[in-house]
Amino acid sequence: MELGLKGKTVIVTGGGSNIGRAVFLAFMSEGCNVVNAELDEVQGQKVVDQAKSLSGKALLVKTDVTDHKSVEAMVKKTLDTFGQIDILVNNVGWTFDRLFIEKPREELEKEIKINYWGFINCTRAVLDHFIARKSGAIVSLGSDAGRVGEWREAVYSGCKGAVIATTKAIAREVGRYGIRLNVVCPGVTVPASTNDMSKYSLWQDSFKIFTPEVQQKATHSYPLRRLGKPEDISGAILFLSSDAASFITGQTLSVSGGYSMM
Amino acid sequence: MELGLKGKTVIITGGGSNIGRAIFLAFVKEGSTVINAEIDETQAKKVLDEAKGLPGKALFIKTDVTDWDSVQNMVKTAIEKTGQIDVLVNNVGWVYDRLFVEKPREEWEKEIKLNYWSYINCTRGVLDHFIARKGGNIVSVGSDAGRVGEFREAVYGGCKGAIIATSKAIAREVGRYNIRLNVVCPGATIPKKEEVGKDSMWQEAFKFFTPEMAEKAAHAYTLRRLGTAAELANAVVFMASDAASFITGQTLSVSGGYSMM
Repeated sequence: MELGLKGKTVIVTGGGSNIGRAVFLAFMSEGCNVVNAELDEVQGQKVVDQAKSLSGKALLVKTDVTDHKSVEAMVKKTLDTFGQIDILVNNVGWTFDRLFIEKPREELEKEIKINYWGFINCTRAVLDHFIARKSGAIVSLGSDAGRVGEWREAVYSGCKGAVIATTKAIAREVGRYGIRLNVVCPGVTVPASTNDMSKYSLWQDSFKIFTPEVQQKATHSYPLRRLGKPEDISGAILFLSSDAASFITGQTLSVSGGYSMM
Repeated sequence: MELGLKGKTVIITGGGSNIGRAIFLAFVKEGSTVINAEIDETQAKKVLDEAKGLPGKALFIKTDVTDWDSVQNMVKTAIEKTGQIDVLVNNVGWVYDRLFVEKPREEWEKEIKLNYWSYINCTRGVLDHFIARKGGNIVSVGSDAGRVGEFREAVYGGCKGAIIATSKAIAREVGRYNIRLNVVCPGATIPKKEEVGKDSMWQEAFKFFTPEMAEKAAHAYTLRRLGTAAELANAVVFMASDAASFITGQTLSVSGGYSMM
């Protein structure tokens, strides 16, 4: 199937860890120009180096997605380097699992900034360019938490639900320019190790919660009887970004082994 | 992106016309061995000819998906010819647009047989084989009519809603055997006259879906146009592939934003 991705320019936010890293490497394998908009410069550079033998061209641009000026500068740097942007993958996300009534306000604010404002800032920053070219695709990472609600992830779920609803609304507004927006929702997606992760990754703290025993118990909720791996998620993101998905917009696709079926 | 479809065996029901034809050709392009479980022999042979020169193998087994014995024979023959089935695409569907209060009972019965019983027969027909080999996946063609309801498609919408719900239920039951079930939902997908056989719903639907109607209908689509069979086929190929190995029980609309759920 012809995806038509070769030579396209893609921005991946948070391409240093876990799902973002797998997505970054997958687009590099397709021969894309890929910008790693990553806050942790050291880890970002590590991943860019890991992509050396792949057919794409990589560019690391240190970015704080919660700061719209940092995002605008990253978009400008991308345009200066590659001349155009075809695809944006809103991947940055963060959570720390706690009961809602035990959540400190600072964590709620952090979750809303990273998960929702990050999506708004990056989406807004590429849209003028997409509208001018009458072309562009945005794929955002949601979560099954945003579809069905997840225990100990109340505001994280709300942010992901917000990403889903806002995506549909913007899709309705810019579909007339040929711009498509979709959301991919993982379930629990465990990185291979803590070594290959940015210092900001949610997994730096979450392995304390998601011990091997807890992970094993969790698999019972998955019809496919296992948790997700970062490589499971990248296929759907590549597909939805590509020309093969030219008639798909405003959609929410769970890649979570059947955890939710809506 | 590695789809892993080369050399895989795929059964497509109703691969003679419109969406089924596009799906059939798409899998042959991927190098799969593709079996057209089609009732119209003439139309099936036309599509076999169109598949000449493509990387995969194209086969035809005459099948009436509303007849359980016919489906069982088709599956048995498919396994004899190819050794193993990897993918089933439930594509056969039929509708004649009429207000619910104006529908004759025979048309309801035809719609339930062709849209829902066909899905049940074929899905049941391959599942023992899939469970024995602990693998395989099923992609069924639903419709946005089954998600949001469609004017003049009451029972058709019901059948498509049934496919969606039943797919989720079976997905829960057989996920433990590594079998995946998913549904892809088109909107209105108008074929070219030469792309449909005598049993296609389009033989009569063309009278209703004139070019003027199609242009009016496009206003309801966020992407401001109707979809093509090839675009639907792409999503079916994706869902059947290794790239979707962690996706099951899902419903994906390929309808230019007609519905957003």
